[in-house]
Amino acid sequence: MPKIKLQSSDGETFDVDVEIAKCSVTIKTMLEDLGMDDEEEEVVPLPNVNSAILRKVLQWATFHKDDPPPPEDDENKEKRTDDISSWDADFLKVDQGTLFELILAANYLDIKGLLDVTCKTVANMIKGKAPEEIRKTFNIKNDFTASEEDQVRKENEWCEEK
Amino acid sequence: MRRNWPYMENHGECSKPKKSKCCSSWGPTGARWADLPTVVLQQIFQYLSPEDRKNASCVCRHWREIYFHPKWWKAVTFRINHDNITKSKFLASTFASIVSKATISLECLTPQCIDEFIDLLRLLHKNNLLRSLVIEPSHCRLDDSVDSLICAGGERRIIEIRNLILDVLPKLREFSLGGLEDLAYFSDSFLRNASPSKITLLGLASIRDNLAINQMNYFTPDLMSSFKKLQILSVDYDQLSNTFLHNLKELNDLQRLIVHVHAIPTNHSETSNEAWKNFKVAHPKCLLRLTVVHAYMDIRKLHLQVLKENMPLSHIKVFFCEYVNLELLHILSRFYKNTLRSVMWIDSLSNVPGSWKFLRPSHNPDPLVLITWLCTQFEELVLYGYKYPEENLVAIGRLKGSRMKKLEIPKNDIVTESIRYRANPIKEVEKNLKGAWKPIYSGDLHPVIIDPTLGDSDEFLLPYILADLH
Repeated sequence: MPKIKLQSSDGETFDVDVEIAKCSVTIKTMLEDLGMDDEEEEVVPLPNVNSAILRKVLQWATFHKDDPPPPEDDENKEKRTDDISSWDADFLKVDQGTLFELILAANYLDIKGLLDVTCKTVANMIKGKAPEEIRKTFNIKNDFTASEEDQVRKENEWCEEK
Repeated sequence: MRRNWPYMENHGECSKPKKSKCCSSWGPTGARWADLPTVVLQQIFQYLSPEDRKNASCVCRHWREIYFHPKWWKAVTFRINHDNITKSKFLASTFASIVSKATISLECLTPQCIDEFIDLLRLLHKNNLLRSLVIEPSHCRLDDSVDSLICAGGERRIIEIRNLILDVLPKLREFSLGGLEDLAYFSDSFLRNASPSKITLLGLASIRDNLAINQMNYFTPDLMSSFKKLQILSVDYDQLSNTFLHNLKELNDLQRLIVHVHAIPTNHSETSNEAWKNFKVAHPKCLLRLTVVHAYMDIRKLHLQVLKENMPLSHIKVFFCEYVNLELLHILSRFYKNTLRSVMWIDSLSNVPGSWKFLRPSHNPDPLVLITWLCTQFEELVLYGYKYPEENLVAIGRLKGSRMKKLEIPKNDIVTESIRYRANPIKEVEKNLKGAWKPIYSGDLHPVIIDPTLGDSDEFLLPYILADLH
């Protein structure tokens, strides 16, 4: 099976099956657009992904390499978040920093399946919480001014009555 | 030779690469959740319920920006209320340019509110996503009472509203003028501007309460024949004729026809039973809803001139006609056994014993019990303003059981005949309906039901009538 070399931001190189690397639409498009020369040993630099995250991403991609392509999104309905597979759930038992980095990597590498499951995980962490609890969970600073906060409260009231 | 990797230069929204940091050193404090790329945050929000999304949007400024993404605000009700113009303005400025289904709830008709309405229409006019414009007023005449639009340049405003609607119409799939008499007058030009290849819902029927000033709501019947995608249509009785029914023949997806009757115009030629027979063949799935409003005079001859045996009648609503037409009620169970679902007969209560209006035929059986018994689809009865014997109510409950979805009657209107039928007829009805059932207690009645001089009947009847288009 043809291989490709991926280089993380911190300089580590990973030998990866091309098919697995191609679950990243970013890499796939790149290889298609530029044309792959099988003879040449290519190194693809991924300046936005460090080695620890890239290792996780490749672990995920290897496990999911035979997955059918994810279905098209139906924008109209609220999506489920209770359908995370047990493998994915275990895989995502990581600290928040890793989860955050995985989301950025999945977004940057355009890996829909991984982005879906990480976003679902974050959504599950938000569900049922009041704004202050969400801030606490994610260590987010409230950057509204008092008058903005007032405005937000009013807007919420106005938008609520559908 | 090194390739130039153009994709790698494009960080997109992931613009803050955290080079050479190992994930293990990133605690919750290192992850900058507040700065998540917009597309990612949108996706996370997509997994949240509206309530959770609202809470998440209060967390910080960046998360707030995502809240007003068009995909979550495709259908918006724009409330225009004199008491909170700031809110009306906010809703208009936030959503009018992104919404695709706009419902305009005109909660009062003061000149200021009408101006807000006009401003909103101007914004909607520029919105190319707009597909549906449904007006839902609280009252039906723009030139009403002290806040007369005429006094405040009403005519100019009405013309402006008309022009804006005419401009918006070509892009719409759904349009309802909300019974507004002042707009119904322009039905003909509305139809000429609407797009026959798009329109699926058209609400052109009006609601009037002063027949002296009424103008016929009438459009060229031929106009109708090109609206082939039309599914729901409401018109005034003025419009209903054999020619009109014939012109609907090409519409292959018509599901609901709503007809408002205020009076039977003297020069109006009745529809024929034959025309309705053909109508049923052409539109096997279409059901007819008849709504009768303030037809003080003509309610007495409605069954003779309006009802035809071949009508696919599913709903009949009678509002404030100050008369119960028992013959008509009897005809319902004879003609519409297979289609009738709902009967509403509504008048103000009369609590002075001497003036009690009894809903009691000269001989049994009671027409409403007959309807319940004979009409297989019957599931909704709303009765205000007529004394109704409790044993008949019990009978209705027994006959339909849990298939009766709605049974609404004020407590004061339930009367006990000479001998008390049961210790507790309400409990009996509740048991048969298999759900918590209770009559409407006087505290919960709309003022206009208690006394016609206490309120505007529009406020009471409009929600029922506007719901017909849903």
